[in-house]
Amino acid sequence: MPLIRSTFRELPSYLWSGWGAICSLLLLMAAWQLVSEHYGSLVLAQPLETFASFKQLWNDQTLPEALIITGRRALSGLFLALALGTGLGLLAGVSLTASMMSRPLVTVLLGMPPIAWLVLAMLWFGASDGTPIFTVFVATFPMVFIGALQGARTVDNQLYEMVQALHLPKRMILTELYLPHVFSYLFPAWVAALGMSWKIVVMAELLANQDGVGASLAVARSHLDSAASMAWICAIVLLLLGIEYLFLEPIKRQVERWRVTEA
Amino acid sequence: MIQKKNGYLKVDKVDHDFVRTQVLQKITFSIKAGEVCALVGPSGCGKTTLLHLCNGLLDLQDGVIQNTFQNTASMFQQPRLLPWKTCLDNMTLGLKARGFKKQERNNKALKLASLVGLQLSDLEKFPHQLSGGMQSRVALARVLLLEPDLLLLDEPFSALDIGLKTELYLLLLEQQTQRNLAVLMITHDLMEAVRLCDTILLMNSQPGRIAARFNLTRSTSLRDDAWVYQTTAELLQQTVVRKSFELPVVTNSSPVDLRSCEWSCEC
Repeated sequence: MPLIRSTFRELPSYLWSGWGAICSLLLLMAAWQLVSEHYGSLVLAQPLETFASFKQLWNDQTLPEALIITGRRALSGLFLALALGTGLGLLAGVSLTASMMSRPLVTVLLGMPPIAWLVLAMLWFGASDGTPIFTVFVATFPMVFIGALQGARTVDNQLYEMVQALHLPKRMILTELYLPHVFSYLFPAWVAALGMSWKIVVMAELLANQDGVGASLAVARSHLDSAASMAWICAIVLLLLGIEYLFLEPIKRQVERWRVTEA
Repeated sequence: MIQKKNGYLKVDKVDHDFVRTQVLQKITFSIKAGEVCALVGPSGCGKTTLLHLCNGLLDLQDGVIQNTFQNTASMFQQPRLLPWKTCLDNMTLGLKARGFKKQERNNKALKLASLVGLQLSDLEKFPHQLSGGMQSRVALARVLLLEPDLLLLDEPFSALDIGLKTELYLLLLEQQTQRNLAVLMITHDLMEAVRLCDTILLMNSQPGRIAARFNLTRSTSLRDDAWVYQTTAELLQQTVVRKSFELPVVTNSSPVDLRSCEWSCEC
């Protein structure tokens, strides 16, 4: 609870610091305008055309509906990966044998390109929800697994001796030493997995599904509708930026306050 | 609140092996309440192992260790603070383990903080925001809050500069006399041992064993710098000390006047 309170207390100053970010985004927009004026609207729609298309998609409910479908798929796959990856990773971290055995397997999983999984998923699940969910799961699972494994393996032996010398009971050793330490590895892995899941789900939908943001993007492309394509891309990026800067970053600042070194 | 404490720590014929190397051989000594004892010896002679046997971090293999003190606390070479907890929470960790309520813990900690030279604003900080000296103060406060009657110190201030080190040791000694603490401390600085201790146990390495025991008779409050330098010089002339630290044996007579002899030696 104090975590949530202090997050809200620091929110205004955090938002105020966003002006710099907005400035650089506006510069990007200006560059976009220049490029589209040079090459013409068919190649790259102008920002204003894009926003008009965005507004229209929003008003006729296409955009929100697609976002909900895509979000549901991304989150389902992500939650599966978080639950299984965290659980199995911790278990593997506790035993030396298990961590030695699982490390090469996870390296193989990490090295496998998501598009390869997508091909397999399309064979197994067809055009159903299963394809994007499975692809998201399989792409984010190893990241979470490795985070949990390293968290469980790297508890500082010196600190462990210290809590033993202070005669901390078993339950307190878990809550005061193991959990905070493991969490400091897990949280960054969870955040990275969330970002990854959003990109993967759009790719999977684009190739495999009939609905959702990815599929709509594919439709816009096939109509050679540059404005709509850019509108969909903007929606994807905006949502990701929103999640990252309005939700994750403030939490990260609070949770990792102890880690920040004064520059 | 000085209580009469009759605890003692008795180490009797303790041997210890790591795989096939013998680390400790027939270690025998004892400490009473209110006594300050130093373990002095070259690096790797098993001092830390002996201390870990005393505080139960290692299992005893052979021999007897009898500890009738009610409350033993340890300090390590590093401050060993939990990085994700504020200094206040680090200080009170031991009290939390004993089931003290938060309010009570913090009250005790606030009282002690100024004694060990910690400001209120430091208590809200995380360990990485403090200097090494401040971290050591937090570690010292964490131990003193437990109100121990036996303190085991493994060179807790060795990484600090000499001024800070002396200051923290004096702080510790003040608490020691007030509370009639027994202290067993490791050091490889002979002068530090001469300044602070009633007894110095000199250890040899490979295997670690006690080579000599020096009893310093002058009271710690009367030891000024001159006396400390003089006595350290005298001890350093002893063959047993030179051998233990592998110093070359003295051949010509010393220019230092060696006549105070406020100590005795049992080899």
